[in-house]
Amino acid sequence: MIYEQDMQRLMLTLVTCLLIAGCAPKSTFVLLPDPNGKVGKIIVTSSQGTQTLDQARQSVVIKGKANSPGEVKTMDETEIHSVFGKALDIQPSPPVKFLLYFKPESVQPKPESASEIHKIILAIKDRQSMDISINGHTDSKGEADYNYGLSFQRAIRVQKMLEKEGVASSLITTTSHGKNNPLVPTADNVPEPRNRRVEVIVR
Amino acid sequence: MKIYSMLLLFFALMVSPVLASDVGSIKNVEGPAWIIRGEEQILAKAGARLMVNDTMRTGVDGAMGIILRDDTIISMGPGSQMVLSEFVFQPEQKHLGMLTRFLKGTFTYISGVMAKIDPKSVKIETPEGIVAIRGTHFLIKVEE
Repeated sequence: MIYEQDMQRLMLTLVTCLLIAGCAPKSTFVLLPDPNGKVGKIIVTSSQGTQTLDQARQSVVIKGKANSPGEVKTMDETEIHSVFGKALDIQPSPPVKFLLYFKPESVQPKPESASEIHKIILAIKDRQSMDISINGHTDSKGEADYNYGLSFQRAIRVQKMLEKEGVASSLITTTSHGKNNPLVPTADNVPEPRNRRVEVIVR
Repeated sequence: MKIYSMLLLFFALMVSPVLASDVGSIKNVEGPAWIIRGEEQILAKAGARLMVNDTMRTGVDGAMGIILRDDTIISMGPGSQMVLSEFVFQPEQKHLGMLTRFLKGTFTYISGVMAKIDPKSVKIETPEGIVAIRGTHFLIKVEE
């Protein structure tokens, strides 16, 4: 008999706790290692205070709008997976990036870059990518307008090469940066092979 | 050949391709999920492009992963809702700005190029607080 009463009380407490926890607005933040294994840092701020997380699986909760963030705790793997499992399972892997290089004033990729096309096609298939960016660039030699045209032609040439391999043009976004976005910063009017490039991002 | 080049240049000037209006796309979807754009409610599909001010929502059995133009990666668990309030990514002009608001549910976040160039340009909000990031991967849960 006593056992049953205790159970009832326990259940009531549990249900009340669940209800209260379920009703109270709150935000929980958990820091994880980056895809490359490095642990970064996040600074969580409410109207009343701040907490910094800089170790893997550290977490902090802000309960309601008028409170400061609670104390920093560590969330174990099991809890992380039970709370965030679905979101973690569907988290996309980072995009893959390719660079193709060009001779001065040429819109045809250098021969050694042409083999990148094959790798790009493989990456598109492997990731089942439906979002591919092609960004054309030049070095700083020459006028800005000329370079915009040139980097656009480079990007379009690479786009045509991908389309020839069966990639639908509707999946591709092409941009032209001229000499404005160098990989290796130089003074103006300097030929730099590493800046004469088309960047392909497979998402 | 010359005419061909001139035509290409003509198109280059016509389309001004740097100003592409989408800010990212949906990478993968499971179960029901939607993009809410103004009055429109669009069923989310892999490859769908995202615009500034889009609200993303997942159903009780839904989940969705997105990749933004600066390679920020965000995924949403079931019953989640977020808004992409601001996104400007023109590094060559130093125009950078991003605001994501996480309204309810569970999320993962991997910061992208914008956070590397200028961490202050990236703003993340929940109803209870804000997050400043120093290049990183984290999780958010928002309960109403």
